[in-house]
Amino acid sequence: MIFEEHASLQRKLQILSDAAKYDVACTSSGVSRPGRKGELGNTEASGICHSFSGDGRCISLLKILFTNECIYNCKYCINRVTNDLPRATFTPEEICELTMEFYRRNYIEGLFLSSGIIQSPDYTMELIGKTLHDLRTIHRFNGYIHCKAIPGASPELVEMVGWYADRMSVNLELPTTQGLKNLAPNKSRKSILTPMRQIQSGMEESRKLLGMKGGNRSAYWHTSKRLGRILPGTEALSGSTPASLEQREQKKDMVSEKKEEEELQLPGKAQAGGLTQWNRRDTSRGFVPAGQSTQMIIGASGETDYEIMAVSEALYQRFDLKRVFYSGFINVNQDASLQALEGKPAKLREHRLYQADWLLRYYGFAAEELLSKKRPNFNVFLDPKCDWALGHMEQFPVEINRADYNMLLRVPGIGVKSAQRICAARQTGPLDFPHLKKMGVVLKRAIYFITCNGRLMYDFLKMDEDYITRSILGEDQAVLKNFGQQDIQYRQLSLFDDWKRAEG
Amino acid sequence: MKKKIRVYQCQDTLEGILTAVYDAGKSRYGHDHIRLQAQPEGYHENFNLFSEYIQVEPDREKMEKVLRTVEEKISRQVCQQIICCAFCAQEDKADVIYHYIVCGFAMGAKVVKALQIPWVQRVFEMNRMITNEAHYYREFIRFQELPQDPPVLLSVIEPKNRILSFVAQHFADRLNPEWFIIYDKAYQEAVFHSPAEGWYIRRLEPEEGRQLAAMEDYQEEYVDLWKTFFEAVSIPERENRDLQRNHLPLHFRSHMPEFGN
Repeated sequence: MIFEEHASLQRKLQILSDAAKYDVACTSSGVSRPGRKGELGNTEASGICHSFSGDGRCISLLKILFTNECIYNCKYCINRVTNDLPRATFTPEEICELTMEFYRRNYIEGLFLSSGIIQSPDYTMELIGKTLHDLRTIHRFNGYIHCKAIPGASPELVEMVGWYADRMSVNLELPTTQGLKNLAPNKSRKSILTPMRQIQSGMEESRKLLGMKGGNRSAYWHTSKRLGRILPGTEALSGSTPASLEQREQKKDMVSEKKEEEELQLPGKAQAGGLTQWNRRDTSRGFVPAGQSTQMIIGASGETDYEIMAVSEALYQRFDLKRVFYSGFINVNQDASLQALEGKPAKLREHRLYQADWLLRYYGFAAEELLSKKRPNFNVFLDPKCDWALGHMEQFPVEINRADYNMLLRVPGIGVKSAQRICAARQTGPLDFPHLKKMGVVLKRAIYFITCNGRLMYDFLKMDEDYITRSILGEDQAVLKNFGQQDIQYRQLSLFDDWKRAEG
Repeated sequence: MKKKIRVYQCQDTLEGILTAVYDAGKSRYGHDHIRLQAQPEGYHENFNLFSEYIQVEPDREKMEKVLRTVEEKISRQVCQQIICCAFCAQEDKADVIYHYIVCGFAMGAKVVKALQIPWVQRVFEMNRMITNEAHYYREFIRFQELPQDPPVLLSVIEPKNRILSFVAQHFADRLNPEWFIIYDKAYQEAVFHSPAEGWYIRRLEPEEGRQLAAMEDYQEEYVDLWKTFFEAVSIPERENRDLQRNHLPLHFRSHMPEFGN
């Protein structure tokens, strides 16, 4: 192993950003904090991307590890102890300098600080805490800071970091406990969920006593509130609906999922102990005002999409997470115990999971609506929403001028913004298809599922599952020609046959 | 007999456009027969044979009257949308603003929702253009430090629409302890900010513009560090240049050091 103790700042930055690149939970959203006199920086609730790297991913924060030395030996991780690669460690001063100078030039929105484990979780967490402390108090940095909570670190240290950071995340690493046991022998589900619970209850306490401090609630929370759903573990948002009762009935016969949910139920607040450092810390930003997120690796331990979505849903419901990130597995270590992959990460699968994640958080879908035990994986050829709609043709077509907001959201081709615009515009007069196009509705998707003033867009459209599937997959060119969609790539017939087989 | 179209030609500024709106409205000629045309300086339009042309001189008082009336009779939001449209590089903007105000007087504040009406659609589109481009520049503006005392941060941009006034406040808040200049090469104006006095926007003389443009070189130490980071953080197994280009179109890159050689 090569220790580069006296490496230049440039060399260290190269090693430690290279080592951090696989981390995907790197957003700068969730809190809106105006600038302060004499301090550098502010934050925007929407988050700001400052550049896009060669892989097309956004660069928002200075994403680095404090060190890539690590005492652990997680099989999927490039920085595991048994790997022979150049190792380096920043000093807190170097990280502060890079953050401040990059921020001034508008290269970045703030700092994302993760780390390998040196000596012990506590020691590592303390170094991270020292860096954040210096950045906030000595350099007077008021921009965004996203920081990892190290599983196994003591609650005092996690709390200290929480007072300086905007967002924290604890990586779930793998969707199932078994996967974690096999691939990350030094970590346990419990050591991961404990800090997550602590941060959650700390945030609640801080909100109660200090207010939101510019932070916002998660999209999942807002959606649940709109639909009148009760989130387990939190106060009732409003009355229960028959739908949620029905879902609970369904859950009874899903044994594996139940088990998964029990895993995610930790001894709650009693263990968390509440915030204890009110007097010692600057409380003007609140405690983790931008909320917490997590990430898991997809495709390393053989779990189904259904299991993954059930875990995500449980995390949103029970841990009040802002986001769950999915990271298509790249076998960087060529480890024999990991699923053999052709070098390419499972990008399409990842994409489908993100689409479904959005359906959970913004569109009010439940994981069980999208997948089931019998059909545990997403359709590769159709997005999850379209797939759902085709399986529920009895609910369509939807009349644009009358349907309620929640039903509009379920139409393929209509998103949150266009549904809002439709609801606003129809108060002033009836809508027709050309109007929808201007509002941002993706008509080539939506035409099969909607009527305007009782009319379908074309008389020849059929409300038939097979017909629509074929059309959407690009076979029925007549429909697309009418739209002048020359840039659509028509797929071969054989593809459709494949899809049929996959379904059957 | 068919009534002649009457065209009000005005300066391409908020003041010019709203003066034309005022004159056109006062004329009671009939909205269906009125067109407005905003013309950049030194611009010569092909005249249409069967139209009547009226030149409008900008008048600050008339502009203020229009803005005040719109805010009182329609809504503040509509007022802001109109101002936003006036900064958009679209030829039909003066005409759109005029007819949008006419619709607004008929419908009241709910006019913003009525996306069925073509004029409202255009206002909606232009607002989206401006806010989207302004957001791009909040993301992609790059500063370099000019070695002076105190150090001054300089950025050069070439936007399609005149978005400088929509990004100035953002950077003034964010970089409040800094001296900075954002120079808009396309519209020859610049924001100047100092910690004590805040910011202002000023039109530049051609010579000033040349001087500022000449100072842009990105030869700093931190540019190298930034490039190092930019390269290292990309995952080679996932390389996807099309996606990168979708998010970060090429025309922004000429003033971004990570894409320079």
